Amino acid sequence: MTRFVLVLALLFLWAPVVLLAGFAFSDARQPFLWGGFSLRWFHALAGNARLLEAAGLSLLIAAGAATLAVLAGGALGWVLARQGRFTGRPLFGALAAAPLVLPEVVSGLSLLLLFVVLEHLTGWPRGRGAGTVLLAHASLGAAYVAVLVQARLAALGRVLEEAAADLGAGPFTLFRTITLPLMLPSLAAGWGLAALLSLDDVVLASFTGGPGATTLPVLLFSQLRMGPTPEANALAALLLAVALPLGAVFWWWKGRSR
Amino acid sequence: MIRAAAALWLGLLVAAPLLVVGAMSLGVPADGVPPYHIPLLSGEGLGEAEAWSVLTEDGHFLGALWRSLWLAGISAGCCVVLSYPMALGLLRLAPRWRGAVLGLALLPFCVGFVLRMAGWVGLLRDSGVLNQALLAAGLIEAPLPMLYSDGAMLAGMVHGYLPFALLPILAALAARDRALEDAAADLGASRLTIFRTVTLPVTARAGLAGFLLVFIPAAGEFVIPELLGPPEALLAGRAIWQEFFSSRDWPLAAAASVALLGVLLGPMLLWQRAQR
Amino acid sequence: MSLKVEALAKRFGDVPALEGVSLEVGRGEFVSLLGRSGSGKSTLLRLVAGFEAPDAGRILIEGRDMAGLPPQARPCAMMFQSYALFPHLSVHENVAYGLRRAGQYSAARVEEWLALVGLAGFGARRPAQLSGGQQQRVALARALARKPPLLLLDEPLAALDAGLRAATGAELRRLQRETGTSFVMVTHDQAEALALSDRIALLEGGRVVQIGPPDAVHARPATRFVAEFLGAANILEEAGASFALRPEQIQLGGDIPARVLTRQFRGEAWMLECEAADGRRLRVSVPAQGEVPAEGDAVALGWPASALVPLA
Repeated sequence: MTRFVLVLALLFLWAPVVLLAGFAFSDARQPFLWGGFSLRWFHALAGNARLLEAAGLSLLIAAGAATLAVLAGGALGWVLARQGRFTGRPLFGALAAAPLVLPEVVSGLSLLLLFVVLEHLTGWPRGRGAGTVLLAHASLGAAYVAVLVQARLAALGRVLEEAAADLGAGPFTLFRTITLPLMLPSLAAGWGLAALLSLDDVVLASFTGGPGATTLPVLLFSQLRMGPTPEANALAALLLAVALPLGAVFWWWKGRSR
Repeated sequence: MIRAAAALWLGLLVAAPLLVVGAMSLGVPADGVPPYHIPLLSGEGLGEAEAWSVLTEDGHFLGALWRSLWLAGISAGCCVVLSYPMALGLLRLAPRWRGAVLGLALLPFCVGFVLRMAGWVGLLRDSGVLNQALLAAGLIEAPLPMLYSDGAMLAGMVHGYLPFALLPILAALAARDRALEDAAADLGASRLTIFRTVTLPVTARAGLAGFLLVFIPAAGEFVIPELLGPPEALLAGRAIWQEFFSSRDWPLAAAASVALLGVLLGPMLLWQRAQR
Repeated sequence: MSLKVEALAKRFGDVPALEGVSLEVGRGEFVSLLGRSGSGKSTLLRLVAGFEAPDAGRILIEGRDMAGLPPQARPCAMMFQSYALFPHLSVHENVAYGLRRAGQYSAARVEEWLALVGLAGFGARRPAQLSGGQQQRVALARALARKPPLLLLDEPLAALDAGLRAATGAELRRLQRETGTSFVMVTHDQAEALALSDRIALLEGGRVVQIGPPDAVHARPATRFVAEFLGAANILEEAGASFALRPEQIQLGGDIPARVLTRQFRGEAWMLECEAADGRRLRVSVPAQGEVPAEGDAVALGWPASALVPLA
């Protein structure tokens, strides 16, 4: 029974994606209609300056937001795992976790209003654009990084840090030689997760981005509201073509290292 | 020092935005850029809180809120109900294949949220793949209107949010003590009884966490209803978006956000407790 | 004096962990802190190492008051029950860690220590690639590498298989002799404490109840707790006072009639559980070579008056 459901669920998850990628090779002008094999939409995609520009911007924002999220989220997770009890700790914990569960429209609207009011009061940030989108994505990513780091540090316990202190390491050396290397796997995973969240976001970017800062998902969404485009199919096929071998290599490597 | 920096981050990017939304909900729309006036920030007291009276007196928004909670509840329920057999099926596989099949289940997500929804549009719309197939098979004479329906919206929601329920439930089921189920079987319980009386209760926390992790963001979902749902289906996320982008009534959008948050506060606190 | 502890007290919330503990450890001495879990022995170790601050009392290491000093500034070293080997560093770097902090690192010195604990050539491995016994020896080398005058050991043998424990204990004692380091070892295993230590301090409820050489503590327990904890002594109540009576001090062929309930073979001797005519239960150790009564047999028990040790 469970295997049957598993197979059905896999079909459910894959059906729209397979169609999407499959019809990328159709010659028909209308998407999701078979008109013979052709690679014309891949050429069209390669020549679509607007889409490529949006993709470039998205990658930049994702890298920046993920890096900022790792710095902030690393600090948040470390404080939550290592600072014990302090005044305001329950509020601190609640605020650190809040972005994980806030509905996107609410965090998008609230961040935008903050930027507008801040500009009104202090003159910064000047208008909305890639910078404000990056900050919005970083605030979401940092919450995920904090969870990963806190879980890692809690699982490790304090005994390794006590051992290092006992062997003569001062607080800074201890952090550099023990805590930071031990946090590294969770920081790397957090960076990847934050980057993926940024690359997949429509709502936060729509609210906090200006007219000059259209990210790839925002562009795809606005096009899709008018109806699907064959170039989007080609993009999906391309993404799958990158992710499938990556996933297979990762699986093979994990199987070998076991 | 680090704690102070972290607190500043949270204050600026989590607490302050929420406070500003609260203040904005007490403002009034105004002509100009930006299109609002907040009496509270200009030292003129609380003001009339017009947006709130609009919100509470106009059944329009309350209806949207109610529909959103329904949709979120059904979506989260479907995700949890699907996740349990999926996770159990995954755990029955040999460890090497388990990783591969889990990867296979998560791989469609690499295409991205918007493009996955584009796939559903292509599958379900009048000229879509499903209608083409049914017409070609002679089963129907005119295309079935499947897109822009509650069903399409629900399919999109489950497709979009399934991992949020699947991953915590899978982790809890993988970590459970199998000896408990062996003991129940030894005491004469049938497979279904074992699931109901042992497996489900010992993983209830993860099940609840998975449910809430879908329910909370789904209640404010905008993109999926916009792309797959009926045009007239007014949901909280859509209402906030429209008030903000189309009507440019920022105070009303803010008040609606605060109302949505207020309704979701209970589930959010429950989620935080289920984490422990 | 290597370590001097004066009237040390510590509470965790409302729970007292230590209530006025005083203790002296001489240079090159091996002292065990023996007690059940919750007796305060681990707390004492953590206070000396500097991981917790005492509520009252003083700690002196090599005559220097440790008040207010963080762990990294204290001359003692600690060996952790879980070993606390750094998983991201090689065996070599683990042993080198303390030396580097003190600016005393040389590769040769690390290799010397690895050779001393029988792990020459293991330097490039990660801790996870070692057996439990090997990890234990890396932890020991790491703690000793900086030649601390005082080594604190938290249950150093508890994580090992029973078969490995005796040999590793002897190794521990050898290293302690060779390096001349003072050892303070926390353990809940009385056999381990009796076998390895110069002196044993017994802790109960956050207090030291008896301290002395193993043979003396074993022969003349001061309290009922010590008598029971150090192994299977009979406790007799006579004329309103309590006495300890060791099973091997009881002879067959006295004037107290009893019956054998059960018997257990202990290798060098049989341990008989007997019930005397007046209802008292007595444990009697009988050498394996001689005649041993069977279960259910009637016996007569006796002991010299000097065998009775009065208890506080």
